[in-house]
Amino acid sequence: MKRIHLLWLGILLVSASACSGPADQPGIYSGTLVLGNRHVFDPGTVLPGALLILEGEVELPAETAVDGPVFLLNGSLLLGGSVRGDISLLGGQLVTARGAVILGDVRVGSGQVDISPGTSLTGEILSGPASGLQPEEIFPRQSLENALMRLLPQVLLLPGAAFLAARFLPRPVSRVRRAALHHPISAAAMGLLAGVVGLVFFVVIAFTLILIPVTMLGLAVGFLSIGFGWIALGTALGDWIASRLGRSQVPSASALGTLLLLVGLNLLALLPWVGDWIFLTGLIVPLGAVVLTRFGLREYVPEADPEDDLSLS
Amino acid sequence: MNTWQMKWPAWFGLLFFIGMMSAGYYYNLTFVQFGLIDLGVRLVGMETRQVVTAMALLALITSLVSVVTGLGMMKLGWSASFYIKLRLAFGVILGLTVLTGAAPAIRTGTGFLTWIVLASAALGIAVPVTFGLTVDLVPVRLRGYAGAFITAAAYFPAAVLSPDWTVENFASGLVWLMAGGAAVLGVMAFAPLGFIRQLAAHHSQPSYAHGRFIRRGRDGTPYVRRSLVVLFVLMFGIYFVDSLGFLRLAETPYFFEAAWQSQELQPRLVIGITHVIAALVAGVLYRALSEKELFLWIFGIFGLVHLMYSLSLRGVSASGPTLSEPVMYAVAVSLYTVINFAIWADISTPHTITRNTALGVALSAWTATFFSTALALQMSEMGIPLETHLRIVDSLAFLFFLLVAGLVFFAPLGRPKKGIPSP
Repeated sequence: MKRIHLLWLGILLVSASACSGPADQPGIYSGTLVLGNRHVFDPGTVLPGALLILEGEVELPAETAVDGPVFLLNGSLLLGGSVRGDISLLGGQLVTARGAVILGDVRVGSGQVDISPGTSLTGEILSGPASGLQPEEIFPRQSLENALMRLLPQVLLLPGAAFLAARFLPRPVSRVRRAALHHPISAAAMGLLAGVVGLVFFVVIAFTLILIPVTMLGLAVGFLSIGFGWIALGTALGDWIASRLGRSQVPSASALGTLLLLVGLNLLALLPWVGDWIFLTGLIVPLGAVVLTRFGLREYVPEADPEDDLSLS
Repeated sequence: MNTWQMKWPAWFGLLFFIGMMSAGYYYNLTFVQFGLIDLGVRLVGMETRQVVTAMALLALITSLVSVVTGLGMMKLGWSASFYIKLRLAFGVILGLTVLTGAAPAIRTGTGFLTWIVLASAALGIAVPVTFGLTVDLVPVRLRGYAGAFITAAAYFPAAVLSPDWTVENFASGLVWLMAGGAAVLGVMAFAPLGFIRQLAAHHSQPSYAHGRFIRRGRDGTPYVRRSLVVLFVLMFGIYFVDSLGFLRLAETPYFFEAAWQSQELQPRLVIGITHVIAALVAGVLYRALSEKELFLWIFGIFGLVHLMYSLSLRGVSASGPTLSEPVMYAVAVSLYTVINFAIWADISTPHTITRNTALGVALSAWTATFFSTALALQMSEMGIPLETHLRIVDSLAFLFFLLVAGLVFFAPLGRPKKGIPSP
């Protein structure tokens, strides 16, 4: 059996074994996700775990309970029962009825809150910066500090991995490197398609809850792919530097090249206007190269051009 | 000589082809797909079921006329004649312009059916004639990119500019576009212009003549691999899956009015931009991947999209209509449309292109549309709910996905074996 078939078989087996756990142990992924329509829960209902409302109307009358925090992104929540945690609003509308109980804070990043006088609120109503839900806190702007925080795990892990890859997997690394450097447009197109479709696929199957382990596995494979692509490009950079300095191309050059690549990419990401696009390109090209070469297991060779005569003689 | 050294007549031919095909596909996406339904239901007063049946008839007649025309042109040796194809295209566009202008005036069922028969005959001739011009106007190495620009130029305005899906609205805009196109075609077909003569000679050059999948035997005879017959099945499958799902979604205002027919510009703009980006990606990947790998992606995305729709209906995922489903739908549709514009010419020589495009487009696109329409009607008659319908489509997409995955992993391409002569 070819290595690629073994790889697929391995992924399937790992996925299957990862899925089998939660099915036998209900409650691990407990929580309630509401993404639309109107939902009125009967008295006596206790929703386990967190309640996440992305859209729609939710009514929790008296004698209902949420056994965890509530996150409201949009839509509305009419609360007459109890919430055993914080209620966080990023949007939408929260209305409490007399007798409602909130055993935590109400954090308001955005949206409308109407707390009735008869509501029992253990914590406080926090809005503005105190809520911890301001857009700049959730989606921090690019800054040197953020870039360094993002860079730190990368530089701690990848140069060492590059050293090992260059030493023990030189051919797969070379194949990925050639695909990325010789066919960057094909690699970018492949990376964009694989990245978008892969991300949507893993998010969609996460909605089934039972397949969350597959989602986590898929995202891990995605990060691994990008990391492997960065190692391949870093190796190319390291080899180029080594050749310019008249040194031999050794695994330590791969590690150094990967380190420089990561630092450079993260610094370029700080540039206004173009920084995000540069970083996106730095993600999709290596990802595409890894996909095109199937993790470096095959050489990527595009179709040969036809006989090259476009003249009009 | 590389692409950038092409002389201006070659660029003119390429741009003319992209313009002609994108206008034709825009016509198909808007006027044929939705304008006729509006005409039949609103102006003529027919029931939706009757109009949809008439649309299936249109698909069937178009398919038959296309195959007969394509085979006839090949037999008569017209397949390689640039001027004959241009003149036929001129006649067809002229006829369709008159028909399109007259359509909003139709008020009887008989008039509607007569219009359907005449238009389908014209469309049937148009398929081999216009696709046949690929070997004269589009170099082999640029066919993926040409398909990408055609797809982007057709889908972007179709998604963004058409909030009012009435036959009058479509006809008023298209008649002038078609009349202008017919005028240009008339000049090219009948005026003794020097650069047109240069374009007419293109099909004798290897860079235009022999498609990407054409191989040569030891005696120099061009052939295509037998395994490529599977392309017809796969394209049929794609059109069938797309059409079967989309027909039912189009009847569901819950989804449709939040996306393709939204009164707000933003959702339509997002869908339009997605079409453009996906088309450009497909244009690059058309040459970067094997066709089976591309089909694998397309079926996979279709399976994912219908899964998203059925999860949405089941309340597992986003119960309210979101843009993620139509956006992914746009990705899948753009990918296969690019392939459709490039692949039939790439399994052809100038002598076989009218036959191959007729068989390819007619048997895959139009016949699949006919069968899927009939099946969708039958499923609707049987009272099959939307969720079950989408799950059936999803299963079909997944089945094709597994089939292609098997072909990719266990029968890789790139091994020329026995072939079908392609004289």
